[in-house]
Amino acid sequence: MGDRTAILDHGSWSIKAGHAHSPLSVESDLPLLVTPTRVRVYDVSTKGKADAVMEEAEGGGMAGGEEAEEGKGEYAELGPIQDGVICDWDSMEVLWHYILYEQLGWEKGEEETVLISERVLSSSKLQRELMTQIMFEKFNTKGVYMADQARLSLGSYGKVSGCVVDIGHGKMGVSCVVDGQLQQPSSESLLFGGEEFTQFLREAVQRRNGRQYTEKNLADLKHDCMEVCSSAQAYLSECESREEREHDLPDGTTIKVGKEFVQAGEMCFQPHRFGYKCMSLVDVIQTSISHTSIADLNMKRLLTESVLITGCGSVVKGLEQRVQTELRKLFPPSYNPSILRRPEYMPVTVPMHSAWVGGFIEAKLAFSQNQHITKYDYDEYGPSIVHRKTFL
Amino acid sequence: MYGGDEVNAIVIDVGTHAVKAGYAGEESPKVYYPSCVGALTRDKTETRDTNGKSGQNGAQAGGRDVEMAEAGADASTTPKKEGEASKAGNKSDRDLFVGHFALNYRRDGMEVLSPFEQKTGLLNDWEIVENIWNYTLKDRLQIDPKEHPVLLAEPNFNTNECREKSLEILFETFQPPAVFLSKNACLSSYSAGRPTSLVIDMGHQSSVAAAVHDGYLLQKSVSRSRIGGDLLTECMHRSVQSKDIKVRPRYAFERTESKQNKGTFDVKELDDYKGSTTETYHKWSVEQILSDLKETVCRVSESVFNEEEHANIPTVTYELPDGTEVQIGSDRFKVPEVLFNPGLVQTFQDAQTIENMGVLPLQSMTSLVMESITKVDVDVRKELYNGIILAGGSSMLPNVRERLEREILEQAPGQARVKVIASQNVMERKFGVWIGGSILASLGSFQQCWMSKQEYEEKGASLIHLKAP
Repeated sequence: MGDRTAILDHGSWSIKAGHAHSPLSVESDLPLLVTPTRVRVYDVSTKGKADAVMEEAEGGGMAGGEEAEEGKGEYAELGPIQDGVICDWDSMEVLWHYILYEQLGWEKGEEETVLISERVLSSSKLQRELMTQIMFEKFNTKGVYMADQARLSLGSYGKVSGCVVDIGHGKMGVSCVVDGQLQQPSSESLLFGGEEFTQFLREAVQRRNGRQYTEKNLADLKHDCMEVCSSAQAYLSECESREEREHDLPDGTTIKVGKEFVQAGEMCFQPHRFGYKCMSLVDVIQTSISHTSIADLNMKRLLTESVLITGCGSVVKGLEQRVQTELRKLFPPSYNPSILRRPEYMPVTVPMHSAWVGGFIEAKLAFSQNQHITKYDYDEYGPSIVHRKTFL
Repeated sequence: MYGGDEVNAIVIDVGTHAVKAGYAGEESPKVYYPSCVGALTRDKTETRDTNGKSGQNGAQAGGRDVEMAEAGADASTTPKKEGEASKAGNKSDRDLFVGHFALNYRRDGMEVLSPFEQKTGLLNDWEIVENIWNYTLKDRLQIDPKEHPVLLAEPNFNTNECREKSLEILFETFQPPAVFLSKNACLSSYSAGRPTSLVIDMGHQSSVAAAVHDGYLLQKSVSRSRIGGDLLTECMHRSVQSKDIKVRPRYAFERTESKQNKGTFDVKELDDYKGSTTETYHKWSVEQILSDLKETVCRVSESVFNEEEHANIPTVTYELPDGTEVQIGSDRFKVPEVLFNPGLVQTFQDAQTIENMGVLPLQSMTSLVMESITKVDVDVRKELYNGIILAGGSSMLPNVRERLEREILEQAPGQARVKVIASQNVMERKFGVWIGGSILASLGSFQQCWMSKQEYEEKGASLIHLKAP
């Protein structure tokens, strides 16, 4: 039943996928698969789209898809998901096909159920209907369940209410969840996200080293080196004092790095220094909590105490402490802003992939209690059943 | 590929305080933000590259603007050089910032404007209205307006010109397949489930009482009073000022945790914002803080407010954003009492400025209801007394329902059974009009009432007066 469920967590940078029957423990390497959301499209001009999928398994190196397509000529690389919105449905279908059939081991004729976690604030009713339609008609799944990433992230920490800060590749987003229900009016995205950090680093590193670097090198660099200072004053002194040093990339090349990483981290907290006219991350958190319209004072206090930072950007050195100190300044002393910590029994990957782990937990509950959309429901009511049967 | 055959209408209610919007059939609006927008006049000398799209009518995807600096890595404190402008073809020379996240970010020279005109209470700044609709539909709901019919809630006293103008902008810019306009009072009575009722809407800029009979608004019964949420907030402001406390918005101070005592904060007042922040923005920011104070501490007293009696009430502490504690005692009851006794406005500091806030008379809620009922035919009055519906933000104050019922009972004719209805779920009172719209637009029997785009093109906007009286 719920065991062979595939769980998909959509993101602009990568799709996290896995089974619901894997064992869950602290050492578990969940999710099973983290695939870049990238599709290579060959030969657009001639016989229509002959698609291929480029993927890199967790351990690095190229897997079957790309080798098979060598020598096919020119290709364009697409990211079908931009900021949580699915732009290109054909590529998305190919990507799903690759994940479900090739990686997760589904077989044609014996498809199972699927849990899809998506960013509700970016998607629309139409997108959810189309996803349901494709899942049932093209992939012949037995059941579909959709959930919001913010709610799932909180679920993986064992909470039903909290303020979720998602620092991912697309725009950074802050959303409040109260008693399991996402509060849309108080949720907002910032103007920048992981992509802008990479962009900033690309320019800075290029200037310092005088040559171009690949996307992968920059991503590795960003994950290894980016850090956040403990306060605004500390930032200023770091900028002056930080010296240039050499850094080794995984593929062997060395890069000279300096204060760029501290600067990139500071973008969240003082965006006006980098040309963005918007509120800083902590200001957005504070505004979001105070604008939660259905919350009374007690709930607002609870939300302040349950701030969850998730996404790949959550593991940046010094980010949590900085958010905590800045939040303490913004809220009155009777509030005790605190960042949620990973429960000890949860896998180590949880801060980064909490939405997926939350989906993992939810799958066991939802499918066993038949809260999902079954094939019968879909045949009876059509794709619009997704609005009625899911808690979105 | 889109195969849904449910009608997914969108319901939009633009009120004087906030915009509520969402899909029909849902129980609360997904979109809720202040209806005031920030406006920044584009300087001829300043060059900027706006992020928003610009339509032919000068519409702009309001909300955010991004200026990517050219020299990225040098994070010095000197202002960055901005990129070359692409002066998008906007007719007006303003940048509009919609939504509370955009508005909460303080910008130099940004004014806060409301699309409503103070005097008449009607929409008159159509560029702002267009931006609001655009932000709601494209940014918050993320839909293509061409696919969804739109139900708009309009003020009870809306003029024909205003209605036609709304239709014109909606059909020309957004091109929905169908549109309908419905009066606020009718929608409130739908949400309460009563076809005949007297709706008293305690709104932000004014309070309106109107009678609805069998689902139709009785136009001659519409009465307005100047007393609204903003007046109450202003009274609260005077009360706080009289205690010599200055309310500072967030951008005007800075809190730093003192090194010696962890847990105590030093507050430093920042002066550099004084020159560049506009009067309206400052006023708006202070108003936000005070209205939160009002919503938290104020209650309506169960009997007529008596200054001496209430002087012994224990005070309640409220903490302002900069840490200052305000002790509110009898003012907790005095401020909402203005709803029932407008004469109390005189007792606040600088009362003259409060009274000059508007053109309408300051009428108490009770007399507003009585006036509205007396303007209606005698045979309907009995039913109206039996179903008085409370709506609007100020109706969320605790005890307002009981108090209003008591007051009306005193003034109503002896045989009348007076019943004031207010939703138990306090939030629903704020969204009452929207919920009514959600119910209306999802009814099967309503679907033939829509005014379609084709009808608009053939017969013009004036058809709406026949289709939606």
